[in-house]
Amino acid sequence: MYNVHLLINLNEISMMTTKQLFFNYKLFLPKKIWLLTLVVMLISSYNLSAQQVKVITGIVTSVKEGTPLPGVNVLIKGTTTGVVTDFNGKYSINASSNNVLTFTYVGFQNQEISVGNQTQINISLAEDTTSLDEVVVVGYGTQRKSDLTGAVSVVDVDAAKKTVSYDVAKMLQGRVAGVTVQSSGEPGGFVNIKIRGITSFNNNNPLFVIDGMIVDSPYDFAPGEIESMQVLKDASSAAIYGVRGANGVIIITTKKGKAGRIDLRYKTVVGFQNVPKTLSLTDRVGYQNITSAAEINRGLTVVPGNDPSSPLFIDDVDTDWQDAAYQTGVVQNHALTFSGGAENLNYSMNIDYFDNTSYVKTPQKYERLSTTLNLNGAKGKFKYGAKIGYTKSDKENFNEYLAGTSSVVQLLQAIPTMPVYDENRLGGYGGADNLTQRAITLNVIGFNNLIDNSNERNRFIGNVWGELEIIKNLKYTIRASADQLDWQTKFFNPPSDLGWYYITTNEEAALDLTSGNETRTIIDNLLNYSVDVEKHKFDVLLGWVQERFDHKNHISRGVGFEPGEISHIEYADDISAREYESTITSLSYISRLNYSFDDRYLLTANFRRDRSSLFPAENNTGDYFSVSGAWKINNESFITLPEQISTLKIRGGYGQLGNNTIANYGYTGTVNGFASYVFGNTLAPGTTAVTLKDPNIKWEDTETINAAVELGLFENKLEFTAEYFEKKSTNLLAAVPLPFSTGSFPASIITNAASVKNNGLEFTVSYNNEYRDFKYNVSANLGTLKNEVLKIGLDGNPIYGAGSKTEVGRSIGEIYVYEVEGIFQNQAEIAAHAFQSSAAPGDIKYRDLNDDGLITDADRSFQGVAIPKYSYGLNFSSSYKNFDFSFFWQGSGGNKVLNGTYQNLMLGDYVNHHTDMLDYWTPQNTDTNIPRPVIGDPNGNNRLSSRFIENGDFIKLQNIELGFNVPLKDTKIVQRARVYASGQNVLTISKYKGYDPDFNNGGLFSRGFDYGSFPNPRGFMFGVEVDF
Amino acid sequence: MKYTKLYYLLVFLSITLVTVSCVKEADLTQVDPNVETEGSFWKTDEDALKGVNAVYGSLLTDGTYMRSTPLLLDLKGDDCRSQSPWGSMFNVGRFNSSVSDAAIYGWAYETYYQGVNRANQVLENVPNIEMDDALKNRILGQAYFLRGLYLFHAVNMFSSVPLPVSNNQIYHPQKSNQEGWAQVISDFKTASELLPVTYTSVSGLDAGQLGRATKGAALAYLGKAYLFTKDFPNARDNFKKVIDLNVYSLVPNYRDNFTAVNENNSESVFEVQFSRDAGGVDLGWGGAPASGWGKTSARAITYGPRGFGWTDVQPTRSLFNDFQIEKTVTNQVDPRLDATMFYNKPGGMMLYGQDFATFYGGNSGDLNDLFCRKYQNSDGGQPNEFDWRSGINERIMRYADVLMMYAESLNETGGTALAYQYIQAVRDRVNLPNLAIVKPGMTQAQMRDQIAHERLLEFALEGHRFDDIRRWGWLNDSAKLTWLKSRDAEYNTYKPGREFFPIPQLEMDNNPGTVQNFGY
Repeated sequence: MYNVHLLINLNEISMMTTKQLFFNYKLFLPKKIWLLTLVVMLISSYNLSAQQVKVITGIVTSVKEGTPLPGVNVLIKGTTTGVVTDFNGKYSINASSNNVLTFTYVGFQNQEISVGNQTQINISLAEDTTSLDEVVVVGYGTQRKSDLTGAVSVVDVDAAKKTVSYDVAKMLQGRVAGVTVQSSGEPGGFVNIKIRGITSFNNNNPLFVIDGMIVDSPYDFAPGEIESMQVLKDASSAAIYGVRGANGVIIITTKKGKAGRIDLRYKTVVGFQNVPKTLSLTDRVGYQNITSAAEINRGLTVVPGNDPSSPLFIDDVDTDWQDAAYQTGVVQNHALTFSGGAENLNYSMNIDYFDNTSYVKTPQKYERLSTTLNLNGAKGKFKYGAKIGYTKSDKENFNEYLAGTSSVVQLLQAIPTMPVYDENRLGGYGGADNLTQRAITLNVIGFNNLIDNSNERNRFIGNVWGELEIIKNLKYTIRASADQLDWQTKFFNPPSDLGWYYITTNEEAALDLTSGNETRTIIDNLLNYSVDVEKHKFDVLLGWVQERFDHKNHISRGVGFEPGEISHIEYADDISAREYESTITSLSYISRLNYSFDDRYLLTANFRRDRSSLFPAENNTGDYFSVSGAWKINNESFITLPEQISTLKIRGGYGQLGNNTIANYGYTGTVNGFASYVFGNTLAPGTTAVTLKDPNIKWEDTETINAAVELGLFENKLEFTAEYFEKKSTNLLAAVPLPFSTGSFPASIITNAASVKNNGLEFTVSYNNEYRDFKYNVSANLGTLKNEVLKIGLDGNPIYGAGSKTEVGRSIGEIYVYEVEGIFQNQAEIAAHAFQSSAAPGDIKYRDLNDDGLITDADRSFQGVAIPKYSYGLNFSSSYKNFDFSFFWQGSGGNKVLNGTYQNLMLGDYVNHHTDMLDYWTPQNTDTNIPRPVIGDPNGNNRLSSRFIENGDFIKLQNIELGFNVPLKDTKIVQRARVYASGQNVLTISKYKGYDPDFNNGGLFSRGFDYGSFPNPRGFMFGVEVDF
Repeated sequence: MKYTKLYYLLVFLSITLVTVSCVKEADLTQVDPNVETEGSFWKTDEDALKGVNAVYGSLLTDGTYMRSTPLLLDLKGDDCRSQSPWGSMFNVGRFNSSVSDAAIYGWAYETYYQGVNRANQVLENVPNIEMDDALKNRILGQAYFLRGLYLFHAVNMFSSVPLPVSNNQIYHPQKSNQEGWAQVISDFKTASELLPVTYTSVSGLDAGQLGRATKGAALAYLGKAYLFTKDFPNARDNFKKVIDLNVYSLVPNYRDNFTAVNENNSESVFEVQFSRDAGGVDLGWGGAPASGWGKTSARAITYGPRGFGWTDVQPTRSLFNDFQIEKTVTNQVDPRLDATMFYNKPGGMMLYGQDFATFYGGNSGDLNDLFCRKYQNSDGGQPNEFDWRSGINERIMRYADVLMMYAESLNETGGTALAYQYIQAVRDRVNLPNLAIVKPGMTQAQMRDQIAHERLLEFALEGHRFDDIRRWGWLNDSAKLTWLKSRDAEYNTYKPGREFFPIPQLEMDNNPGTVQNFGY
């Protein structure tokens, strides 16, 4: 069978032109054929003019990686005479000194060199990143980049990888127009990514597809050596993912082995992370001054610890909590990729180790070890492949005292008179005292060091596929994939004394052990038919996709431990346990038609039907379609474009998508069997419905229109794309807040309650050029976003968040707070102003917006959009001889931030203060905008108001990197070695008073509220890359 | 050749389709395996009983009697003060609850309506269950009682509130304070008609269960609702009915009303049941109940003396002084003082197994301070309250209160002379001299002041004092208000309207048409 196949191929080869042959070589030809073609080429090179003929030899390498390029076509210009380079990139050709050699290789820029006196010509080919023949992976298939009709952004992977992160999403920050990323500095913490704005109130995270597998939570496994990343932004490109596609799709392809050579690449990077900024907080004296003033202003006596006349006055402790908490964190990443291929099987194996210790002095860290193996091969008409990945990750979590509170805020609020360590307290950490300090203040360092909160995840992904060419051009593909996650978490809070409010008694000491597993199995059955009829090209895809997701977990809880007792469940005084399981299934049919005429007119149409168990049977079906087209104007014969224009294409499309990212069993009313009571010390079982459910929930729908112009100038050295999109999402499932009087817990109901429109412009421009040895690339992207709520809530009632309100005609989560007018200087001003019931001189004067003479909740107003109006990235990369240098700026703006961290430091209470608070109002210090501190804040000076609104604009030098390719004499073993140094999050230009304007807030309705997220660390990295 | 190919293809396809089909048509309907559905519940008498038990369950959450409700009721009285560093708590007694911070009062509001919702589930579903009619009536009676009780709290503390009597709608419009009381009265009235006098004599699933709402409890609360709306004749008649049930009496030892030792005693008309022994040990603050939730109160840690609890609530000096006014027949200090508070008592006082003077000896501030003792687990069995878990039942309707309220309604309906004996019944327990002898022939007005004094001492720290102050109109009486300010400095920041809490902002924002209470 194999021999027959070979013969057929040989026949085909003989009919091909040289150019086609080499184009095909790289993609399809196995090793043996390549040898044959070499022979053919060598024979044909005898047709040379005999004049001044000499033998030219040399080696062809790639500019970027420095590795030899086998199979490069070396041609004497103006003839059909040529050779190809061998495995080691070497060639030998007979040419005369007046010849010009042309080096061509698919995916690389052509180069021409005059022979002259040279007998050895070594040359490096630069990758042709602008190449429109580049093949990109789209859903369930591939397409030439130039044939795309939808909004697909191809990420510059090499640049993206310069952001050292455990999370692929973080690498995309600023790289693609229309993609926004919010991150937190917690090692292993969650990264929030959105494509083209908010399209859902539940989950806006895009779908990740890695090597054809749909993968949730991509953060906890290293996908391997990423070769390409595509972002499908509009409905026409994402419609093939139907109900999963509304948030956009990120397609990642990892490195596959190539036949013929063995590659071994080792990469290592070690870095150090610090908090780039500290906030200016009061020291002991400042703290005691402000807090005592607050007590006196409230008519209270000063607590003894802050009263210099008391024997209990504290003047020997002055903790700078930021200084005490922050250290240098270490991040390291080592990766080994091993790839190669034999006759029928290519392989690529990647081993990746990532380790990140916290910049906070706690056990917090993230460690991940992952391996992936990609296999692919072909035999006859059968192609096959598999991907196997295994990841083990360990995360030591940071702990919040109460869910939803911020440890960062608690750290900043910790009072300076509390020591970090105190051997007299159980556990050895300091705490505050009820009598002397009265402060409810948490020793975040002690709390986190005492608690053991670890999370271990074992993840296995497996994916097997086979493709059979049934008859010519009709291919059947089956792909089965499984993504299995097993996890275990341990949370142990031992008995301790962290001060008067934070005592953990033996009875309260608790151990929670959670273990669970999740399995997602997907089976794709695909049928693909492509046919060319003269100038017409058709490509048809039909498919049937089944998906099943099973989840199980078990929680054991043990309560009651003695100090020092072994933290195992069997040592607990009281043990309880519970379990949970769930299943989600779906069935989908997919179809797509790609049609092109004469490489001028392109058309793509998609249809998908989805059915899912997430919805009641009568609502469980969703139909989605899209149509898009493109016109390659530069291929028209009747239009003559100016010479400078190499590419001109316009494209546009329309499509519908769905979204099913809601919790399981969302439509069934259930009862809770644990609402028990007690009669005579005996448990009386109680059962009741706790949560109100909407039995009629259905899909969310998104409609998108998209229009774009692509322009390439000067042989595509300069490329420009401008794009407009409009996305309208209807029937959005939202947790609509309910009045407390409804009696449901939570006080909200999930129902199809809203419609939202997002529109914006996206621009991408890139320019490649070189001047002698200096090669450079500049690329920039800019995305604008306008979000508008078209319909919301039950009966159109607005939805309120933390200092925000979402209502029709505005964007989601706009800041909605009181407006500050100034500070009351005296009683007369209070009397003259609208009634503020408990105001005194020195308190904040709020504006009476509705002029009713009262300051009430009706005086709140919209004071800014929380969603950045624009975001952008600017990348510069260059090389000069052995050096390469790049930097990347990224930013966003046009939004406002409600600075909750700052608000919490301006309380003027029994917690530490921002130094701004030192300028508080007194009858003597009236020229200030800082109100008087007062215990209990009777006037609500600290309520969310315009005092705490700041501009969200920022621009960050996200990374800067300098690399050096070590010149190697002997390239036999080590092909290439590069060392580099880089800085991450080096500089943030922003007036923001909090830690970082690039903060993470998962709450959609309160996107602009910085409740105290971990600051993104600044890192300095040193790396080595070696190819063997 | 062609057919062979097709044949292979068919075999291949059928094998793949059969073996790899992981989702079948039937799999597209998934039923939650973790919980019972609403559709399958409400079928049997056991379901009915579980349903009504869950209505009681809402009494145990943070918003209700686990912590917030006692705090909200107590802190505004002149018997209590707060030096809590937690603003939301500190501000309650200073009439300064912030509209923008609904902690504590908002939790109370929220959970009252969760209780109402649960009661409505019973009232809507149980009538359709085929079961023993007597049991059914008892269950419905309890649901009416509990709905009335939750709404009593809502109306009493928040004034103009929604009155959901059905779960068939999401939005329940705000109603006037008057309409609120009418609903409360209606619910208690219906309950009193359906409920048994005791559960010791009934047969069925609930036989012998102490702590369930009885006819006496419904009548007492009905009387209290009439009293709060100044319908004194109806109040009087209903309190009389409670007395005439002849099942209640005062326990000889006053302190037995505030410890875990003598719960559900003869004086107890209705009490919220807490226990350290039943259920799990997790603190069930609120939300969706879980299997590990305990059934304990956090009142004791919150009110606890410094070193044993958080000391968020402390008795006032004026309360202490009031106990000194009248000595017992044996010339002793009123024994209720020692049951109410810890202080540096001459001759010593023990708390949590330690001597007061010794424990606080290092600090003159604490040594001369007053701390709460009612409802504290301080008799030596526990070293402190720091595990948060108190099992002491909260006696929210004591027979002593019924007697005192009956006396009050007699006085308001011209029966001043008749009132003496009921007041004296309460005084006799603590050996106070016969009022008819020491203060004979009081006028109606004098009797009012006497009742106020008696109620303060008998019910200090039990959440009744501020209700009394408000309903007696003292806040609108400048002389009385001045007097209150002299007794409790926290009254200096009282402003008209602040006798009610604000409607939580979430209710304002999400229930269209809701109007904020006057004064906020």
